[in-house]
Parts: sequence; C-alpha cells; structure tokens
Amino acid sequence: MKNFNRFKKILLLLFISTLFISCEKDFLEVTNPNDLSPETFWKTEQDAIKAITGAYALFQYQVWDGRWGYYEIGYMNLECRSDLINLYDMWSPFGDMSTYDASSTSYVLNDFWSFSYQGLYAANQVIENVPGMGLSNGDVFVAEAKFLRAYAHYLLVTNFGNIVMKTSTPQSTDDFYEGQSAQADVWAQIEQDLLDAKSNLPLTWESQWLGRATKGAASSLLAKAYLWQEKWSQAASELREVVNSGVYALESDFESLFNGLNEHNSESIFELNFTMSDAGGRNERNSFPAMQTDWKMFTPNEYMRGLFLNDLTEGGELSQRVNGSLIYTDLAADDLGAISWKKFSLYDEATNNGYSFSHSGTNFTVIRYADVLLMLAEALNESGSTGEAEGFVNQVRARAGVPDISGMNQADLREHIRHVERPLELAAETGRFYDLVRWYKNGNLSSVLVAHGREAGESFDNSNDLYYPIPSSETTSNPLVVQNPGY
Amino acid sequence: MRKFLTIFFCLFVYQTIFAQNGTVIGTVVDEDGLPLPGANVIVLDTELGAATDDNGNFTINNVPTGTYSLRAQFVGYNNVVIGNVVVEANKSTEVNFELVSGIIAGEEIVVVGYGVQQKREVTGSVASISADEIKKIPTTQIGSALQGAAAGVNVTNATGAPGASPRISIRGTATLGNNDPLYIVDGVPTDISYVNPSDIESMDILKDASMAAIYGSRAANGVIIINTNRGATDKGQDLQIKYNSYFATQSVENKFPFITNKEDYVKLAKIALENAGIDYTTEFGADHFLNMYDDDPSQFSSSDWEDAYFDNAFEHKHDLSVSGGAENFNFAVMGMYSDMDGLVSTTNNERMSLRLNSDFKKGIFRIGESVSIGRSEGSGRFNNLYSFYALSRMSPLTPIYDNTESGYGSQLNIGGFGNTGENPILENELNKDTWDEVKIMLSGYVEVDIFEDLKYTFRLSQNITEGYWFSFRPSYFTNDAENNPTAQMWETRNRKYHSILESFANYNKKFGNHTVTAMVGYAEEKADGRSTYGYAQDFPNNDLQVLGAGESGDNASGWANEWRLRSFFGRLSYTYLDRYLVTANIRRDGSSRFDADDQWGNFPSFSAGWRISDEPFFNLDKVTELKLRAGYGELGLQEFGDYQYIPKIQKDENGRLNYSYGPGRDQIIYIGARSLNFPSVGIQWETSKETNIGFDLGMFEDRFTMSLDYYLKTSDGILFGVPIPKSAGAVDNPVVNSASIDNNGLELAFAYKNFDSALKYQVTTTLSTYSNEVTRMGEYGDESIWGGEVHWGLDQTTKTVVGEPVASFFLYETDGLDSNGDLIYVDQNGDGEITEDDKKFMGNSAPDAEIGLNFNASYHDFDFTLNLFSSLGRKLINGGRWLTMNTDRFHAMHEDMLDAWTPSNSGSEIPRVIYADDRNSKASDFWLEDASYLRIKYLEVGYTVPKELTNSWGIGGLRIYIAAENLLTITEYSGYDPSVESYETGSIFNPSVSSVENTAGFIFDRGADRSPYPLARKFLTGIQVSL
Repeated sequence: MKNFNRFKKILLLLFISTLFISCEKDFLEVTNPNDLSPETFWKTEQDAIKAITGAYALFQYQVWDGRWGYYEIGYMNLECRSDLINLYDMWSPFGDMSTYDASSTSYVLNDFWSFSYQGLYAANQVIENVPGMGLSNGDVFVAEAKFLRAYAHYLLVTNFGNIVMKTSTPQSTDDFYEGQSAQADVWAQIEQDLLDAKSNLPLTWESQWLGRATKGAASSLLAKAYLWQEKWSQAASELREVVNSGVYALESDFESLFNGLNEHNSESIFELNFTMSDAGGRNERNSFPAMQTDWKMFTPNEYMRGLFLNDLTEGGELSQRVNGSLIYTDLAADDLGAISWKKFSLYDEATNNGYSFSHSGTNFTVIRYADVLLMLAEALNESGSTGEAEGFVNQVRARAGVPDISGMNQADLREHIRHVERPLELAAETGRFYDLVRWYKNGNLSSVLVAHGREAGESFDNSNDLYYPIPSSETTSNPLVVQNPGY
Repeated sequence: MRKFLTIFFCLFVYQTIFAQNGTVIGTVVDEDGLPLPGANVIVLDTELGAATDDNGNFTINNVPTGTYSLRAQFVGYNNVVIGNVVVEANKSTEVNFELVSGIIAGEEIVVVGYGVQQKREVTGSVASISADEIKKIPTTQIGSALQGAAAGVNVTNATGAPGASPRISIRGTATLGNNDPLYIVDGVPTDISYVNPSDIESMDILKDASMAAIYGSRAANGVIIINTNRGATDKGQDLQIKYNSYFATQSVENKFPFITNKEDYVKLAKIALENAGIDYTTEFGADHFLNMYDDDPSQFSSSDWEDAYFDNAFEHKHDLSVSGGAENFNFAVMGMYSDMDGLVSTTNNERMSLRLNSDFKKGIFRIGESVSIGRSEGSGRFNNLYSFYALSRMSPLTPIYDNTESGYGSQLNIGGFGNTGENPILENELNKDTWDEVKIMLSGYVEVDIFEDLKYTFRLSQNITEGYWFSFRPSYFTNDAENNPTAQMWETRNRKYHSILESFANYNKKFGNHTVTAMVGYAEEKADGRSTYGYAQDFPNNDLQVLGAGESGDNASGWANEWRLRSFFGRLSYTYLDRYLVTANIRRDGSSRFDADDQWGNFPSFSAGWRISDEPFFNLDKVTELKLRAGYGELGLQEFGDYQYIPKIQKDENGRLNYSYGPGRDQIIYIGARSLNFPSVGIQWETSKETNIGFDLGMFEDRFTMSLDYYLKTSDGILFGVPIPKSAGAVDNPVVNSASIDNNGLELAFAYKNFDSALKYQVTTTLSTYSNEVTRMGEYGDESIWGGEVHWGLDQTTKTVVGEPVASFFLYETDGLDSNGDLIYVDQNGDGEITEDDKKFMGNSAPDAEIGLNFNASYHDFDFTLNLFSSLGRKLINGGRWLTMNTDRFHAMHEDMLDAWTPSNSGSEIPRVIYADDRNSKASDFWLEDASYLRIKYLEVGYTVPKELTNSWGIGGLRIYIAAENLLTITEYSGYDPSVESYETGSIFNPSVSSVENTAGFIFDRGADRSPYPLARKFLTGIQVSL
C-alpha cells in the first residue's frame, strides 16, 4: 500500500512537471525584431524609395563617419593624376597615386573598390526585387538602378581596367568569387544598362526629387561610354538627343555652378547631393577643404596657368571662367603655391553660412551641359564635321565671354578641344585624367604629361600605368582575380 | 605419556594462539574531541583491524607481538598513521587517534553535471578545487583566485580596472570567437562575474571532452561547475556564523618611464629636428614651443602626467554567512559588500551580494532553492580603456592645471604639438561615466527518490540581468582650441532574462561486482534581451544630468535579441570489480541560432579507466592509487550572433544609406535601406573533437598525489567571418564555418602534504603547456587575418594563417643599427628592398609553459601561504614603448630615447631620433620582448587565536592575517605588466552585437600590449571570525 501511494505521488509529480515542458514545435524558430527581412520588405513604394535611396547613398563614398569620405575617395583619387595640377602638399595616400606609382595596399583604392561594389550590390537588389512588387512606377526605379549600375561599372572600368562585372546579387557562397571580365564586355553591359535606363527615366523630376537620374543623365553617360570606345557617330547622336531635348542650357554665371548656392541649375545633368542637416548622422555632409587653407593638396600648374592667362574676353580681361575656377591675387605674378582651386569649396563668409569648410552641403556635379557640348564637338570633329563642331565649342566660349574660334582643321580643333577648351572649362572636376587615357591609351600619354609639366609622367608606361592596381584585399581573398600588369 | 603430550600440545597451541598475542585498544575522535563512530583502525601490513563503536572506542584482538603501525581512517577525514606501536603478549596497548577533517583522495566527490561521481571512478580529466583554496586569495573575482590552481586553466586580466573580470580559458585557444568556458553555479548555467568567491564550497573544472560532453553545446571551451555553501545536515545542530573582512591598499607596481623633465624633453626635440634637417629657428614661427622655450624656459612646467593619473587605491570587503541545518534541512545565507577604488584616480567599483540556499527533505522528496542577487556599480571603467594612449599624447611641458576658465592646462594652443589629445586629467575629473548592473539568479528544484536506486530531479531557473550605463560630458572652456561648448549625455539600459528548465533521472545500482550508473534527461533554455539607448545635448548647466534636461540633439535607439536551446542527454557508467571503469555520454542539442536544417548537433563521448592499484597483482605498498584513463569526445559551440542566418535589410544607423534629394543645402534626409551583409546561410555548430589520456597516482598514504594528462583537440567548422572578396559587395564578411584549429598540451599537477607533525604543510604544483596551430582558414589556403594593432597609425603586428598558431607575430627582423644610427631591417629575400615579403613569423604570445606553485604551511597557531606563478616563453609587442618612441609628432617620450644613438653615443642600441619619420618605427622585432615572468602572486601570514581564548570571549574562532598580492614580478619585460592581454571590448550596452564581433578583435590582438593598465600591488590585512 505504501508503495502504491508513493507511486501515485510520483505520477502526479511527473504529470505536473511535464506541463512545464513546452512541446511547441517551433520553439527553436526565432525572428529578428531589429531589422527587416526580405520577406517583410519589398512591399510598397516606400520600400522601393528606401532601396533606391540606399543605392544613391553609396556614391557619396562616406566610408567613415564625418564626411571626408567623398573628398578622399570620390574626388581626390580621380583627380590626383591630372596633368593640369601642381602637387603642393599631398596627403599620404595620394602621394604615390599622384605620381603614377599607386600601391595595391592603399586604403583609398580599397575603399573606392569596395564602396563601388556595394553600390553595385544595392543597384542589383533593386533590379531583382522591384519588378515583382507590382508597382505602377516600378520601371522607373529599375531604370534608376540600371543607371547607377552603369555608373559604378563605368567608374570601376575606367580606374581599374580589368574588373569583376556584377549583374546579379550573390545567391550562394560560390557567387562571391567571380573573375574579371574583358573590357569590351563591361562596356557592352554599360551600354545596355544605359539604353534600358534611358527608355524609362523621366526627362526631369519635380523639385523634391532633384538628384535622381534622368533621361539626359543616362544619355550623357552613354555618350561618355561611346567616346571611350571611339564610337563617334553613336556618341554624336546620343549627345544630340540631350541637346535637342530642350531641358538643358548653359548658366550665365560660371562661378555659381560650383558655390553651392545654385544647385540643380539648368546646366546640371547629374549631381551628387549633400546636405548640411544633422539628422540621421552627419554623413550627408560634404567637405571640400577650403582650397585656400593649409589642407590644400594641389594647385594649378604652369601649363594650366598659362591657359587661364590666355582666356581673355574681347576687352582683354580674364574671363569669368578664370575667376570662377581659381583663387588668386595676381594670376601672372603669384607663386603657384599661392593660387588655389575654387570649385566646390567653401571659402568665404558669404557662401559659408557660418559653417566651416568641412561641413558643407555643396553638391558635386558629375555631368554638366558644357561637358555635353564639348563632347559633341569632339565626336563631330572625329567624324569629320569640324565646322559644326566648332559651333558647339563656341557656345561654351560665348558663355565664358571669350571670342569664338573659327577656321580650324580637324587636327587643330582636336588639339584645341583636348588641350585648351576642355581644360579651361572642366579642370578640377575629376574628368581630366580619364580623358587623357581614352585619347592616348594607344598613343604616347607620357609625352603629354611631361609636356604639361608633370615630371613623374616621364616614366609613365601605357602598359602598366593607365589603370590603378587592383586592391590587395581583393587579390588575396579572390583567387579568380589577377592583379593588373606592373603591380 | 600421550595425555601429557596432548596437554602439552594444547598448551602449546594455546600459547601460540593466545600467549603471544596482545590487544590494541583506543579511541578515535575528531579535532573537537567528539568520538567518531564507525571509523576504521587497521594494523598495517596485516589483515587485522576493527571499527570504532558509538563512543569511538575500538579493540583489536589477537595481535601478534611485535611493533606495528596503525592507521585510522574515516570518510571526510585525513588518515592518521601512528607508528612504533609495541604489542606485547597478553597486554593491551592503547593508541588514541585524533582525526582532522579533510579529503581523502579517491573518496572525494566530483560534481560532473547532472550528478556526481566518486573521484576514484572518474575517467576523464577533472580538476577539483576546494573551497579553502579559493578562499585563500581575498578578492572579488573568482578568476583571480584560479590562476595556477589547476593545470590547463589560464587566467588573464584584460585590464586592471576595478570591476574588470579576468578571462579564463581552459586548454588553449579552441575557437576564434568566444573562448570562455561554460559556468554552472548550483546547477544553473550563469555568469560568474558577480559570484562572491567566499560563497563557493567546491569548484570542479571539467577539462576534457569526455567530461564536458554532457553539456554538449557550449562545452567545447570546458565547463566550470561551482557549488556554493548550502549548510550541512550532518555536522550537528550548531549554526555556523562566519564573518570575514579585509582591508587593502593598492599601488602601481611599476611606473612607465615617461620623460618628465622639460630640459631632457626639449633637448631630444631639438636633436630630432636636427636629424630631420629642419632648423626650427627659421622654419617654425615664434609661437612654436621650441622658440618659446629658448626665449624663456621658465614659462613651461615639468609635468608628470602619469603621477596625476594614477592614485593609491583603497579597497575593503566584508562577508557574513550563516549556515546550518538539522536532520531534514540545511540552509546557508551569505552576504557581501565591497568597495574598491581603481588605480586611475576617479575609478571605483562597489559591489554587494546576497545568496540564500536551502534544501528540505521529507520522505522521498527533497526540495530546495538557490537564489542570489548581486549588484555592481562603478565609475570610470569605459572611459579609461584608452588611458595609456591619452597619457602618451601629453608633453611634460604642458601644465596639468592652469589659469584657464576650466582650470586645466592645454597644449593645443602651444605651437608645434602635432596630433595632440585633450587633457586626460580633465577628462578623468570632469567626464562622468557610471554603470550599475544587477544580476539575479533564481533556481528551485524537486527531487524524488522513486525507488531506492532511481532518483528524479526537476529544476527551474532564471537569470535576470539588468544593467544601466550613462556617460556625461560637461561643457567647459579651456581655450579656443580645447573646449566643449555643449554638454552631452548618453544613456543605455538593457535587460536580459535567461530561463532554464531541466528534467532528469539518475539510476545507481550495484549488482555484485558490477556497478551501473545511468542518467537521462531533457533541458530547454531561452534568453530574451532588450536594450534602449538615448542621447541628448545642450544642457543648461552641468548639474542637470538627466536626458530630459537636454535641449537638442535628441536621439533614441533600441534593439532586442533572443535565443533558444533544446537538449536531450544521457550518461551510462559501468564499473566492474571497482577497478574497470567505463563511461559514455551523449547529448543532442538544437539551437535557434542556426536555420531549420542545421539546428541539431549530436555530441557523444566515451572514456575508460583502469584502477591498477586495486588489482590483486599490484603490490607496491607505497602506492595507494594508480589509475590510467583515456577518453574521446565531441563537443559543440555556438557563441555568436543570434540572427546570423536570417537575411536582413537594414537602415544603417550611421546614416551611410541616407541620401538627400532636392535643391539647397539643407534638404530633408531620406532614409535608405538595403541588405548590408550576406546572411550566414547553412551555418552549423562548431565542433571540437578531443582525445585525452592521463593517469592519477597517489602514494605514501596519499601524501603525494599526481595527475598527468595529455590532450589533443581539433576544433572544426569554427564560426568566423573570414574575408570574402570586396567585389561581392557586402560591408562585412559573413560568419561561416570557415576555420579549424588544432590544440594540444600537457598538464601535470602534483601535491605533497605532510600533516603528521606540528609543522603541517602542503605543496601543490601545476604545469601546463599549450600549443595550437591553425589548420584551415577560409575557402582557399592563403587567407589570413591581420591583428595585433597597437594603435591606429602603427602597423599591425600579428598574422593568423594556416600552418601557424593563432595571432603569430609577423614582423621585420632587425640587425642592429647602421652608421647613421638607423635600424637595419634584414632583407630576407635578398631583393634589395624592404617590403612586406621581408617579414617573418616570430612566435606568438602564448607561453610555452605555465607553472604554478602553491605552498601552505601551518605551525601551531600560525599559518603561511605562498603562491608563485610563472609563465615561460611568452612574448609581447611592447606597444607603450613603441608609441612613445615614435617621433612622428611631438608627444610623450620614453626615457630610452635619452640613450638614443648620436655620433658621440654610437655604441647605443637605440636608434636615433628623427622628427616626423617612421623609418625606425616599423613593425619589427625591436618592439618584441620576452615577457616570461615569475611572480609572487600571493603571500599570506595568519595567526589563529587559541581556541581557549576565543571560547572564553564567546566566539568560536578568530584568525587574523596580513598578506600581499603581486608582491614581486621578476621579468625582463620593460612594459607595465608581462601578464597582460589586450583590451576588454566592453559592450554591456549592446547585447545584440554578437560575441564574435566583440571578441574576435581580442583574439587577434593578443600579443600587442597596449599598456591598458598597470598592475596593482596590494597589501592587505584581514580578519576571519566564526561564531
């Protein structure tokens, strides 16, 4: 009897205790309350806006907190090899890069490479996911993403030459390891993306969305791609579309293009937006160090100064291009070191709004109408229509207030566009070295550099120095990637 | 005649049997004079013996005449042997024994997870540490008491800051993430950082897989099982009340050799500029400090920043415990309070804890609980992680205090000090960083004796952690360059619940020569954590230190995390003839940290042992125990982020995904979102496979005991984010099962004790060797992880690659100075250039061997303890020296620079000083030093007041002692502390950050001494009272 009672007690105890033991089948399934997941995202237009915003944001290259990212990684590494600059006091990563001797371990190149690929990843996410959302304007988002994908590939292929092309998001760990593509294939992809984008992008955006890609932006970038491949007539027809769209016109005040007080003007085709606002972290600010301060890295060189000194109006005055591009006291007599570039920087009280030079909301203009006109002139000239080409050059010159050119033959006009007009108009806007590469990649780039006063160009060798080295972080982790020759 | 012969024969026999025998009688009592019934008294070298009766008396009859040794033994007491006992025919010889309580090797109980085993039956590798050993070292941290106490257990201080927990690792580096072992306190997996060492009754360290496998997952780093005092039922009815208290002062053991004299400093600055070819009189303006100094040296001071930064610190701790019990219950209540200042002048840690354990028995049921509450509050811990770096930015020419609005000096206005920092004394004294954390452990159980041999246990437990951290930076103005215009405040709160349910049954039965023990059980655990964070700025004055008083910049954030675990486990042990032992464990765990297909892991283990000393053929008298054992087991780990396998779309808190559209400079910011990283798809448990062989030896009545173990451990599928190509487009590397490490080592422990005479002593020595090698790292053989960065701006010093130990030093080799006084770097590949290819591997920071030596002695009422610890073959990069001998800009300088090479001092080994030039400051073996050391870790002398005296005062016992901790360190290392590891990466305020992110840097930074904190030398005096 005693045993039986004991047995009953035990059974009761076991019964009670099993109640505690939950037999939920999904006890081990958890969901992450902190973040969205692909199952809960990609539902509404707001999600699409967030996703495309995330993609644009990467082109600000804000690698670390605080705002120097764009200046170092999005601007300086593109500008430092120009033949129009004098190296004044290069910060340490740019010392080697600016003398055509970059190192594969440079953090600047590493960050540029990885942020560009993050941009590609973000753009590919939009391209893959938005079509399935059933939005009425879904095509526009996809078009914007394709534009950004083309832009990222453009930046990568013009800087590194032999790049990994990314047209989809990785689905498995094998997809992390892809090899490099032939340059021709990359250009073909860029062209295809831009043609697709062009057809669905709007001509303009309403004010609150200014900064998003437009049809004109896609066409202009496509034209640049064509020019790289010397497809002159295709470039010309693309550029004519931009001209004839009626959307763009040259601004009359040259300086206002760069001082942050006239953003998204009629000449601006594609701008990278920055803002002063503190909300959401300080990474939406830009920082172009006031070129006139101790942070200054480079100045115009003698060749450039010579060009500016000759950019005179009818009345013999220095044109508004000179004033809008440089800070100087006496352009002819000043030491080179005392002259500074003015574009995009905040340097005086009137434009500062009380903020220091490193906290600026000034946008960076990636492509503007003057560039389109000069590209069209170049394409026409290369196709034999030198007369018509001169006309477009003169539109730019008229805005600057300097007299027209006329009666040039193809070779003269080519030299003029390459080594006079484009420098005067577009110096210090990151495009110069890439122009030199596309013109002289099969020619003698070294002699041009030397002729314009860049001593380091003497040892420049087309087979090695046209492109930066692939960052070592990629070559050591990706066995399918081969380092560029010469590094 | 035959009758005569018969009688004679009978008498002869009678004589033989009786006439030549004597008797031995006596009593066996304990140290209090109470009789010990049931004790055994044995006549050695014979088969004779007897047990004591209820009064402790024994009688051994028929002892042949002669001289013998007698041994008295009783469970829970040390054996006592009395020799030279003369037995005479027909006489009684009296021998009385007094037994002292203690543990007899072989019969002690070892807690092995969901049960106990007798130590004699253990077939794996276990180190048992008794309460006495733990309580020997007065401290608030268990880890501090453990170093050297057990072979294979390595303890390092991350920082010497008050409240910092030492890191304990068992058997080397098994994983690249969290190397902490699993801690079980009173059966509950919990965090030991607030467990008062004085509460501990026993600690068992399960070192090898065959022992730890019962905890399967999370056990690959070893398991430490702690049981706290629960009172006792069998020690009579008296309440035991104990009070302990100690007072201590600490001071910096050795100061860093900064130059504090302005003349020396200026002289060196001038030489540095001259060597760089710079003429400061013409190239720098009149406001440059050197020109100002030449003009008027008296305007500068000679400040000793280090002296102002550190202070002697005072500490005290008090414990009070009451425990007791009766036949059916036992209980213990333990309370503690401690207050400890840190060496950095504004740091402090205050702790208190209360623990209540009780057990009740009625019939077949036993019910009990273990509850503890611990609170720790402190100031200054997080602020001072960079204390050394802050000190290294300050020149002695700068005054610490000055006639400025804030009252503090500043060097940011004195020309020529490049890259300087803010006044660290100002930061210490004005900035306020406080934290406050409470940990509660609740546990209750019911045990039922279902049958005589079958017992069932059900236990429910919960750990609650609640923490809060806040930091306030007040506004101040020193000068235009150094000021904070708006006060700022950050506050974080977090709470975590961790619940455990366990249900298991134990079976234990002896069938003749066979003993079978079995255990089978189920457990489930879940943890939920939640944190909130707030920030505000613009406080109207510096006294209103609440977030609500901030007038702008409001920012709030928060996050949550959870994980779940479900387990099935079992054990089967079989013993034959008490000398052939076999044990098998199995555990199956499922974790929520993996996706549905990979959640479950199985962890088996098997071990066997052979008690050779119990074999009939074994005849060595001196040897009381000889046991061989071997085991193999597989364990798992899953200590990494909770949601790694779930793909996520995030907005980046730092705003890197945000973009502003629209014209103007002050546009609205739009929040962007995307997948930043790839989810860790298909990840599985890390597994660790370990083989262990060893033997235990006891000799001379167990006066001498020894254990030797050798282990081989392979950790596979280590979860780590090995670098993937950047072209894949992610920000970080996904955590995947990507690495493997092999560990092996030898552990030797031996002890000798001699309690037979008035001078009783015991010597324990442990020796451990560790060796590891990375066998796999990522998909392709040549992936590598760099680490060991002393500070941003200086090169990394370690590289972890396949074929080398984790975090091996990878440096340039130097070969003296050249004729200009610059370091010569060896061109290993002879290509005429010094590049990365000329670096080579130079060992790692892990020691070749660690030796601990503990010596305890007592003589009458005095007792003496000495703990020595030595680490041999350890190397460190002396980061502090590297930072202060780097003449990149002007900042603090190392005294060695006074001996730098100059043409008139060309025999020096110190390279010349050159301003803003890092040629002599590369990652080379010039900074690598031998950090082997021998340390007198602890020295104590105590006096126990005689019992008669204390009894007359009405108290049971009183002991007073004086002691010193870290009395002396003998080492060639020139930095603060040769036993340092690198920073503790603190994150009580962000529990959602995975432990891999928290500690991965830590693993690869081993070997780089960033001089986080000097070691403290402590002198203490204390008192122990029992009523």
